[in-house]
Amino acid sequence: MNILSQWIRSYVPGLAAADRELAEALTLRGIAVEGVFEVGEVGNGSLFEMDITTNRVDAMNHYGIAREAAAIVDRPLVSLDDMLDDTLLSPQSRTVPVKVSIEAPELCGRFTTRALSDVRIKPSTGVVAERFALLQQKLISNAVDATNYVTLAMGHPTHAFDRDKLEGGIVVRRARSQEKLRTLDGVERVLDQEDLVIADEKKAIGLAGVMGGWDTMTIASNAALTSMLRL
Amino acid sequence: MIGLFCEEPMSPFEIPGLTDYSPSALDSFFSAILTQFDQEAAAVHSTEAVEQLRIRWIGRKQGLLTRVGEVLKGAPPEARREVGMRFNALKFAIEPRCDPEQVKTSGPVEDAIDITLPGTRRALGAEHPLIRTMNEIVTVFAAMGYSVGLGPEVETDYYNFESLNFPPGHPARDTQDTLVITQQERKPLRDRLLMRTHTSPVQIHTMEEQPPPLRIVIPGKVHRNDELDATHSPIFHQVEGLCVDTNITFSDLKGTLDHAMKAFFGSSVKTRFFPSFFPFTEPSADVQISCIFCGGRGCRKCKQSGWIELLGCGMVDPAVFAFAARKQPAYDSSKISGFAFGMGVERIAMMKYGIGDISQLYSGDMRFLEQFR
Repeated sequence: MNILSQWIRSYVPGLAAADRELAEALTLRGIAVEGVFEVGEVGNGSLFEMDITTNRVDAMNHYGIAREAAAIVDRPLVSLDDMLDDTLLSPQSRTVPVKVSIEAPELCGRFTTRALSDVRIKPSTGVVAERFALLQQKLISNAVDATNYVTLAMGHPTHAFDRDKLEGGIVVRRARSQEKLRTLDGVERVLDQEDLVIADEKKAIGLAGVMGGWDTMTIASNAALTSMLRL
Repeated sequence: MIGLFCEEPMSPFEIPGLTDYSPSALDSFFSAILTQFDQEAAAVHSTEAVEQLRIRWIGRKQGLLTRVGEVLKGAPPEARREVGMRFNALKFAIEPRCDPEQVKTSGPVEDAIDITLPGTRRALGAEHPLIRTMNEIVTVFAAMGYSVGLGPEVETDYYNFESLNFPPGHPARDTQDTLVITQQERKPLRDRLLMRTHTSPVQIHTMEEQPPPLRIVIPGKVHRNDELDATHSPIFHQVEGLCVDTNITFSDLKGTLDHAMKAFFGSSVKTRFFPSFFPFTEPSADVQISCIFCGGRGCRKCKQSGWIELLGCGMVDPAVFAFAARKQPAYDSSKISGFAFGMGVERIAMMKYGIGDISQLYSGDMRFLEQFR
């Protein structure tokens, strides 16, 4: 997994240690940095190649590593209670309800969604585009990049669905035996009851926490729906 | 009976009769026939002569062997088996030498031995570098009172994962790309067979068989679904260790491994321990040794860090003792504690002997292996 030092610093403003010192300090505390590489132009900081052990899933994202760094240097960690600025939303978006039902509570403890209307799908810009470029993460579109950004930042699987293609509310359930789902990579997958899917009331629309479905992907629509899932 | 036909060697040979079928009588009967054949065969040097020999001895109607068969028909039932075996042996001795093709291709052979030739020198074999490294590691621990434990390479999910605190679905299972045996889907998960991905299952096997105190070192072959490249092989070797007793602490672990590394790489080698994670130990550590090539100053081999990572280790997780305690209640984590460690043999052998490509260890290439005499 790749981590940007500048991204970590944005969460721990008081972090004074140089990148290599930070890498060494993290490694000595079990957050192993395997390689440190300068990226981009001077001032862009380093890219850390991480080898995080499976007991530290909490540190498999930028905020998790920043949390660790903040504790090591004993400096405050920026809290992530960003609220969506309601004034940016169309009045319609503010009131759209989305019905969510969890039919497999043993696999999914919480599922949150946010409906957005009148979204213009276009290329990402600004900090998202810059950080993705340094991480060599593929830029797709603002809606998809936003969900990937959240995953890289917080380790949280999120996905954007095209609301116009959903039939009814969202259902989180186990796949039916032999149920088919064409995922975003274009592969038609045959699922079984061990798989958890995000579905609408008719069909599976994503493999939970893994990959979205092809048919509900956000291309050039003007309506999108983002969702988050807590396993 | 011995001088059966000595009186007149040139006279036409007749198959003698037989009344006594005791083993000694049969011996002289058959050896007399074979001696006669040998004499006649030795005088044969042309294809025509071979043909004559063939007709005389194994010709279908008048052949002497047919006559032998007739004589032997008189054998009593209890001697039949013995007689049959000897008759077949005689046929085997005679038939190939009556074949004109055979005689032609082999030609007359000079059977003399040149006693001035040097003897056949047998090249001495050598221990394979992997086996040698494994033995050296085991020897270091044997000197500290460890005995050797072994276990099967085909394991159940229970021994390879579950009892080592890898619960079903735990992401740590994914870090060991497992080769599973096919057609196990109908069994419960814990009984499904797989190729062991580490030597650690032997820890559980050993604890189930004997109560603490325990000190074992486990050398063995392990399997993972890895592509072969310069440093990875789908089949490789590990040496694992387990020590369980009352009052075993992390200091004992550090002392043991520090001593082992000094015994193995020389007394100037230093060790350092990093936090790490293995499901079956808590706390877990990775062990690095000061670079044996540059002494810690930094070189290409240690990527300028001065340290080389060599071992994984940790204090045995109480959950693992709980699994062992199902068969051996003495593994009560409130009374005993222990540590475990493991290392890859290939990595150590490659470092020690300066081998750049892991596949050389499995190539069977004599030019490579002969260097380890």
